[in-house]
Amino acid sequence: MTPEEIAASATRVEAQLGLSNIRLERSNSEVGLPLKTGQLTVQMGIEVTPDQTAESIAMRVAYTVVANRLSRSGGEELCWKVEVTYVVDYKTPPEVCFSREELDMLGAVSSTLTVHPYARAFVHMMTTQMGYPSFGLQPLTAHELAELSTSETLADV
Amino acid sequence: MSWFDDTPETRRLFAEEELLLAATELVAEAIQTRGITRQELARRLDVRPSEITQRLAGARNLTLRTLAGMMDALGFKVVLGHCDHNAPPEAVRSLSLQMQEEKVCEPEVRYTSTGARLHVVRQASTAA
Repeated sequence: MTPEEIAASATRVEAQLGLSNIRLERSNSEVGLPLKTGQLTVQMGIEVTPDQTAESIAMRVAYTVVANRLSRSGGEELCWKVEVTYVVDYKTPPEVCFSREELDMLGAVSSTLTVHPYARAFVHMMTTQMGYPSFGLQPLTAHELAELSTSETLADV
Repeated sequence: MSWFDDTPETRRLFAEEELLLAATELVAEAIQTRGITRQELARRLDVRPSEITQRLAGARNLTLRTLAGMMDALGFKVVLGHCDHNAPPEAVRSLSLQMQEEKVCEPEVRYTSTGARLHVVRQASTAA
């Protein structure tokens, strides 16, 4: 499927659902080196786990954002790490069951788009509290998420 | 014959007065640098304005604590130095007390994003 088809499918599934809740389920933050100067590389990972029951869908969207710096020995040293998991709850219409692929596309595109602003705000706040300059995740579009879900291509965070 | 009776006692007194003068001049210079009034400095230190006037006029003995407090309220810290007795007057003044402005160190950390990965986890409980 093309990214356009994935995004369209996710929109079609989402239109049949009722968004009932968005909740922060878990968070974990670690701070390593206290740095005043330096160049940090940041990697973001998003893991989406769909869970469908007869009446509802719980879409678990877990963010892991890690900032490292290169050590003198050439290895990577952890500067900070923020993990946060949100759950998006949907109510499903009676007697409707979505396929695994449809749920995958819903989670990868629609659910991630729904929680992304909350994740951005959370990472921004946590990095400031850890004594680092605030880090802002780049806004994501449905097309970018659809592309990410189909390949290992890296996109700008 | 010099008017100054050069004895250890007078040298000590002279050294004390010289340092007091340098300290009060330093505070006056700091007030001028900051462009604030003595009333404003008094407000920051929670003392009466007359207290500041008396300190700067030498009417009250300026202790190291009050000096440090005034300079801190003005956003400076004091760095002490010393020089030989025979150093020229200019050197004595410049070395007796120096103002050092407090600098707020902003972190100079820069970020480079290396990418994002999106992974959908398939669970056994998910309906097919």
